[in-house]
Amino acid sequence: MSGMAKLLKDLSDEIYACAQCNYCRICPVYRIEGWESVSPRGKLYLLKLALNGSQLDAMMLKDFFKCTTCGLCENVCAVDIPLIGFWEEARNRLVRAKGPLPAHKKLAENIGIQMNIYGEERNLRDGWLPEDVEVTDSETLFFAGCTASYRVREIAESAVRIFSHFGIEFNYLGREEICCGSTLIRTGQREKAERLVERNIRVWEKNRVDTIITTCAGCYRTFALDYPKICEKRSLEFNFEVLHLSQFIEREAGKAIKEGMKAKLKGRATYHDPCHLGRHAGVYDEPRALIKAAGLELVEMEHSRENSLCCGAGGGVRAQFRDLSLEVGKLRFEEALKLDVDYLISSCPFCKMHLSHSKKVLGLERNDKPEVLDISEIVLRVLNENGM
Amino acid sequence: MEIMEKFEIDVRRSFSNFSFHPLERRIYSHDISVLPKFVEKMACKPADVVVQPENIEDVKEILRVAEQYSKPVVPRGAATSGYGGVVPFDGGIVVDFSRMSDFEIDEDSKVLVSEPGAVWWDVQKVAREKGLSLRVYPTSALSSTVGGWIAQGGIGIGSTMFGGIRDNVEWLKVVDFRGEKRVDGNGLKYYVGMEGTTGLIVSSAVRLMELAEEIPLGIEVESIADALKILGKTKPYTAMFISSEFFRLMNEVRGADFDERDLMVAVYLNEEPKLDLRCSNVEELWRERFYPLRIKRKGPSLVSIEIVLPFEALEAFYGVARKLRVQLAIQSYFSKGEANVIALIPSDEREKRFSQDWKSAFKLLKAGLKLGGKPYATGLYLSHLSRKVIDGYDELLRFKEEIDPKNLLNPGKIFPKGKLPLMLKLAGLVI
Repeated sequence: MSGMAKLLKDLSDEIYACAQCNYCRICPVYRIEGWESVSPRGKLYLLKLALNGSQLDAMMLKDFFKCTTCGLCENVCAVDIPLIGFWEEARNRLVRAKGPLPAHKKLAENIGIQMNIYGEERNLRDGWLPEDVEVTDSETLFFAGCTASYRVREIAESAVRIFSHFGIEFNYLGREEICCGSTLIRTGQREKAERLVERNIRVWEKNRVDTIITTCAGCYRTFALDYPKICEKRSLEFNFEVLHLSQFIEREAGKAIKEGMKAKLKGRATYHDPCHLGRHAGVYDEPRALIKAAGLELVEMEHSRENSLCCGAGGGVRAQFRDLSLEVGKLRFEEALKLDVDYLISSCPFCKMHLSHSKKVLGLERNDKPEVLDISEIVLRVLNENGM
Repeated sequence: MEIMEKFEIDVRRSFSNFSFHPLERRIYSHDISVLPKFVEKMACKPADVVVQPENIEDVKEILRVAEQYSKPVVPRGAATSGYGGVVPFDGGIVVDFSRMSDFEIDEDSKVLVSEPGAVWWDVQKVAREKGLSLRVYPTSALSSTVGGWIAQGGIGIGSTMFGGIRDNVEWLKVVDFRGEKRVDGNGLKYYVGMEGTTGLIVSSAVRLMELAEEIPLGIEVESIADALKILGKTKPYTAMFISSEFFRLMNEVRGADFDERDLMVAVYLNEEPKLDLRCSNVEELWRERFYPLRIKRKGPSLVSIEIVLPFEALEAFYGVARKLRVQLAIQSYFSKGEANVIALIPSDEREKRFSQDWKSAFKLLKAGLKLGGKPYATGLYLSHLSRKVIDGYDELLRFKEEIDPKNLLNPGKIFPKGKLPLMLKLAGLVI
């Protein structure tokens, strides 16, 4: 048995279970690329060949990572293969055998040096924090994440301004905050991510944190779903409540926003479910409730909730296959364009960044409709409308 | 320069979408079937190249290249069948029609005009928006293609009322070595169900119906004979008979809560019939019509056979099937006077019992043939049965030889070629 076959052996039941029915043809990457080596069923067939001794060459290995791990395939799988977890496991095995792809390796190096995926100065991580917002030693921690700290800072700022408005005390670790490890887990580098998990847990424990709030869907998924598993494996305690900002605001202030705001936002909006928050974690309703509470008319895209299309950025695709990721982003943005809405709202800085980029690639100007916003910005806007 | 090199250069010059990558070629050289390894080795020599045409001109060019280099041409839809119809047993050019998927719906004449790669359920979504609906579609409609099912032929959802796909095709546009032609009426018999052995389907017109409310009923019956009586009394749009074993397996693999008893599922349009029997609403089961393969999870492999049996043979066939000492789930889809019986055996291709399970499946197939049935398709693996089970076989063969004297159009399918059928027949005896 070849080295690769040995590494894949314990995934054999899932690999053989694939019925090759092609219901996973809806995969957005396959829709763009058009070759089955990048489709879920094609990848499963390739793994079956590898299990039986075929060598996967560099091109096929690279193609294997053309997947945003969005999980749409799991949603339609005729034989119920838990594909989201499966792809991550398979990627982990391939990385163990052949090493990560160049861009994914770079992400890990960036994290190793600066503790963020972008390789930005660690000392600038808290540069977004407004001076007039007070951070306390509260047990409720706001975790800004790499993307909102360095690329889409308005989201982090909106979040803390919302807390301030409602008098919610929160802690924020500033330069002590480090990457959650999501990107490493998605790109098959789980062992490296596990070191981040330990460091994060230790810092949270030191700061007596009991609740973690994120604006990033990727961080949320990682904390809520991956951390407990990794902690169990490494005999660590995981005693934290993890909430996405939309869940927290809806729970703490949903009623106040719905009933207490006289001035409402005007216009039509559609909501893009981030894969990590929606399909992976089942959070669909809270962001929608906030959009409606803000006064916007909510209309759904052709694919929404559990059938939602990925923005195209996840799973290391934006880092390694930029053009492909933007083509997927265009597919998603075009669904929003069909609705003639004023706002395309998401609840993830990575989605906002990528959808904004896709909008530009489609030839649209920044001011053209729809405006791409995060749910935190919508909530802050309605507060501002009311002079708060 | 070697012929193969010249062929490769010609392909590279002539097409935009192609792949010579050895693993990509293997991905495009199989269908959903999994046979014992020694049979697979005999039956398949992977494609030399995969080409994805974008239009009819590309298809004509593929045939030009195929003829020039004497390469087999293997048309491929979604490859969701299991008879080897899309498996190249002698290499050649696999023609993946996924980039020819445009379609239009003529609301006035209630006809779908489609390229071969259009997916049935994509069509259905648009048809519904226009107040129309497919009359018939395969249970793999979520991914299978219009061209694929027409080329394969067969019975599916809606066949109880509207017959097989053959009864619902109005015309076809096909391409062969002589060029492009339109076929209708009696001429359709040379192409529908012929697996691309007489020409490649590049366009088709399929009849649609007015959109109607679907009322699925689960009817508790004691036997298949009772189900047939109900079929005679009422006029369902589609009807199927699902064995208790299927529900048992579904409960096992999905943690579902189906009553583990034989059930007839009949779907009526707009109006529910008055029946004295116990009926239940089976919306969930109706949604599950696309997922007969769910029980594969139990395997993780599945051995399956499909036999089209006249109504009068069904009871005897079920009798034989239930005597087999193997876990076996059966679904029968009723058409006009006959039913497509799908027998599914969860198995494991990694273990010795896989061959044993195939042996059981072959036993069932033989029993079905004895009872006057025929395989759902002969494709590659059962081509040795074609002469026996396909009406007008000799005439079809004469037509094939005239159109395709070099036997390059999907060779080995329907019309047996070389020693392969004999070897597969022997394999059938061995496994």
